[in-house]
Amino acid sequence: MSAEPDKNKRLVAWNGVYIHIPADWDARVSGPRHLVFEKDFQPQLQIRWEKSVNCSPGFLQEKLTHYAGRMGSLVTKDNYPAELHKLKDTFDLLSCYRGESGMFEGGIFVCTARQILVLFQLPCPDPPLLKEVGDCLATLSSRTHAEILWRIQDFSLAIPVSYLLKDYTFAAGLTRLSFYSSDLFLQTCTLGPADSRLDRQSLEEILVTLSDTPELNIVAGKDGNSCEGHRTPTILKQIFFRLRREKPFIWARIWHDAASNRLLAVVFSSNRPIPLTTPQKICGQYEIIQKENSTKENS
Amino acid sequence: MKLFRKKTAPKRTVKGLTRTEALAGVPMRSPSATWKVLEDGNILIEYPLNIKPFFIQLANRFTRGQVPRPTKKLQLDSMGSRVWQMFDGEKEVRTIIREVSNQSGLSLQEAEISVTTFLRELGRRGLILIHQAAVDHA
Repeated sequence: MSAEPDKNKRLVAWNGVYIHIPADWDARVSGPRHLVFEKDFQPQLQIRWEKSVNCSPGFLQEKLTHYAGRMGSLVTKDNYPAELHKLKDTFDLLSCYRGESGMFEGGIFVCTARQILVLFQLPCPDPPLLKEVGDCLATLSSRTHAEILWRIQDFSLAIPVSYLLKDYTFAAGLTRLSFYSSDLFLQTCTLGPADSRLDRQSLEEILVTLSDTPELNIVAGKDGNSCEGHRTPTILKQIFFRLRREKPFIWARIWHDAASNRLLAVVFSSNRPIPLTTPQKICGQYEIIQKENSTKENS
Repeated sequence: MKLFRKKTAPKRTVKGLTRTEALAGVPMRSPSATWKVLEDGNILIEYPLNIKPFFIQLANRFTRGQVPRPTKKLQLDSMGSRVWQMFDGEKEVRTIIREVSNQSGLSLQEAEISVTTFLRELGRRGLILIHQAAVDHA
């Protein structure tokens, strides 16, 4: 479904949607299903999407009219900009809308195979940008493999598809994503800058703070750059934690990525004992993307 | 005819800045604030307290105008000190964000949150002024 990415592009993956954007663009998360792409802090493109089971033309037209009406725009069924013709070949049911001035402002399309409905908007639609946007959108895909990739800003994380996004934070020096899968709760944290944080606190102390578990049994890693902790309470203690509405079983790991001056942490909590295979696999697939390598990896 | 007509406040239609416009602003240090670099490299800012004129007049009555204007001190950490020194009246907010991101290894979005929060805090204390430059939409 997606076109081949070129070398000057990098992959952005968020909540099931994969898109290749120019290397000099930045991706900002504006919502669980809303991304804004910027170049030099100027918005170039924004996309919103939703999973749609009912993707009949009538339903799509209704959606498009609804969105366009909210933005005071007019729907045009034909006469797309030439730069977006590629999208018509790639996706189904493409419709565009124009502002009152007649300027092309955005559109909506459906990826029928993946049952995903995408709305895109262009704040300043000039022809060179339209071509770039058309190329970007042509690479948009929504893969559903056994694992789902989260790759945005400077980190990359692959987790099983059963984990759904619960919450996220992009705060100063702390990027945190949290997921849930049945009774398992997963938190991934990226902290920076590591050197100044480690001057004030040890890895163990940071892990205790992140997991919010003072009674964590912590084992330092052999390399000295990581540590791992767990809480496996007795049955009585489990009852006690459950009465306090806390997850009794906790597994956490933190490690220092010296090359990027970041700390990466993964915290699992569950009502049942946590099988170690999944956490260790997730830790192995959680990394900081080195800026100079990011474009090469995706090519 | 109503004797006491209810007064309705006129609707204010002040349009706020867009994010792009805000990031194109140029922060400048307030002339009323004095600052010095401490031995550890951090910055200490001293700025006058905003006191209502009534209390200033009251203090002057009792002390015959001998009381100096009360000031407050604010010590910045290393990152705050670095950002403060970037307020040279020429750099735009987005330039500062990019420099902070490069220096500290934070991502652009993280650096933006740090810098804008810091600017908001300094603005609240009256330590900076933001000069609004023309926004280039190209």
